[in-house]
Amino acid sequence: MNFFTSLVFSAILLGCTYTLVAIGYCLFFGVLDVVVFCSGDIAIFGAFSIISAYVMLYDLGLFQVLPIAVTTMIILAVAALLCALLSILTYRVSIKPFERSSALMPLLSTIALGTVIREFLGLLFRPLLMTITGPITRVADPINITSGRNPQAMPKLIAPNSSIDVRNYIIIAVTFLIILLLFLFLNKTKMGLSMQAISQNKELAYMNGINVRKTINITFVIGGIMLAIGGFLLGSYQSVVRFDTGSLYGSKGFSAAVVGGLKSIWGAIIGGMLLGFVEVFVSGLIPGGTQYQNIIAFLVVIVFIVFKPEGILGEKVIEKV
Amino acid sequence: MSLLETKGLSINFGGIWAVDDVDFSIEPGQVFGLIGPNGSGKTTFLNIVSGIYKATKGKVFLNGEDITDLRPFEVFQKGISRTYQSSRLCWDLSVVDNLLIGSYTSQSYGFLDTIFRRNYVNHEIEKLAQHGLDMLSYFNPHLLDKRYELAKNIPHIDRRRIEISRAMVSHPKLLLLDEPTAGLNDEETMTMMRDIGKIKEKMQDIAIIIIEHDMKVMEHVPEKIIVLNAGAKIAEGVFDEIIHDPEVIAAYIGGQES
Repeated sequence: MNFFTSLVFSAILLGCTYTLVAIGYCLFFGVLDVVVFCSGDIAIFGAFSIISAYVMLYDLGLFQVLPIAVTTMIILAVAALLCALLSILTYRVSIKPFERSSALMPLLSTIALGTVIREFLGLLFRPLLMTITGPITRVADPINITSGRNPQAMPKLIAPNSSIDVRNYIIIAVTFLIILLLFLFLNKTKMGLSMQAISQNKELAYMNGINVRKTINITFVIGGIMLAIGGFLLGSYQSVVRFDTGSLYGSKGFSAAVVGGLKSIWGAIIGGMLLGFVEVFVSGLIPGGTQYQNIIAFLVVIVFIVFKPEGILGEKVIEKV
Repeated sequence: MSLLETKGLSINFGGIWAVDDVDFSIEPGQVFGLIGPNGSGKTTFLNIVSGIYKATKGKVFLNGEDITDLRPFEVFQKGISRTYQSSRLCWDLSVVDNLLIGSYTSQSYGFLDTIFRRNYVNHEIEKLAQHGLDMLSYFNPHLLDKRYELAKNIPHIDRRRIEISRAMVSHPKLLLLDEPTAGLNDEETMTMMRDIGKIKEKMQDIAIIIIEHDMKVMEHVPEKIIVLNAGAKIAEGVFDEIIHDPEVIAAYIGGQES
């Protein structure tokens, strides 16, 4: 693989991780017109759930008894369940009470809840963090590290015995599979169609036989699962996760969603990929560019919203006096 | 047994009785008009029946079943469908997509059917769409050619037709039309009232309640007219009786002219 091809490949890989969070933002915004700012933290919570479930299964000795595919499914199911619960909790605690308030209230409350999740993860995993003596590097044996000392090392659940390249191919394939399943769900099932109807016109949907409350709850469950998978893929891509990365990860996912057009899932995919490409190409083509990748990525976001505030696939809203 | 019956229906907003002790009943196949000056409580009455507002006092029965405390989507699923005074179309969806919004909730297929019985599900959805398009083409045959056009590109009177057709897709027992002629000129208003008459030709058993503030519009369709004023029912009867009712003249026509 030559240098340019490897850059493109890395960009798609990073874009995949942003895309899933961006889709989470899209789903939530679609049904509630609210930006759920703790989405990145929910995703990182998902990654930590995977680490915790992994350690628990390891301590129980289940890796010796069950095939890796089964243990991986159990771990992912636990993380998805926990993220879905956290997502529902987010709706109940920080959005629902403010349904009749100014849009600023859920904005602030989800930012606050994001901080709570972040600090909670930091507190929960800090005692183990303190035992780290050396720099965090890609780990050869995740079992020893995760079960003993470094909770930030992401277990290699994806093809543990294969090369990084193979794992990365799998990450891309998983992302596309998840997106495909989401599209089928949104376009073929009653619940998916209800979510789209609410996104178009909530009042109309309510008056046309759609149980809006139930649909919103299920949207948060699905969004939570998407975010858990996003956190898992990000952790797998980077091999490590930090409890405080949720804020930046969430900001990037949100930026990707806005650049793409906040109510469009295709837009979220394009926005996520765009951000991934900008970051990877800045760090790959500019000498010492890694330090500037976030600066340039967010400057690109600002330029985009100045010239195309509705997003790439968003509809222009004209306010009439 | 009446299709829809309200007993002592009342709602209080901050000390004001917006609907005050209204008794009402309609049988299957009947077309009633509900008129009254602005602020008389017509739309509020419809909003209580369709579950948007909760009645302070009184009850709403559909086929003898108490539906007073049901939520709007449950009222819809029981067979009451409605349109609005201001347009409630999804502008960026096609005509046919607008027709289908929410209609699938009345279908019996479940999640597993959507995976394992795609042909059956597609057939059910096509049946719904066809029913809506039949209604739409009955109003205006040219609309069939526009079924894939976005709603925002459709003329106002045809938007009204789409909304009425959408309300019909789920085969309701009772159709509530809130000022279906709002925003239409005189000629379009007459066309719309003829269209509403066509509904009866298509679905004989459906009951329809039409809200209007324009008395002369009522002359063309309803079998019976109920007049509200300040939330209370002040008259009930056929058009000729209503226009000669002194209380109606005082409260409604007199009020408008003064």
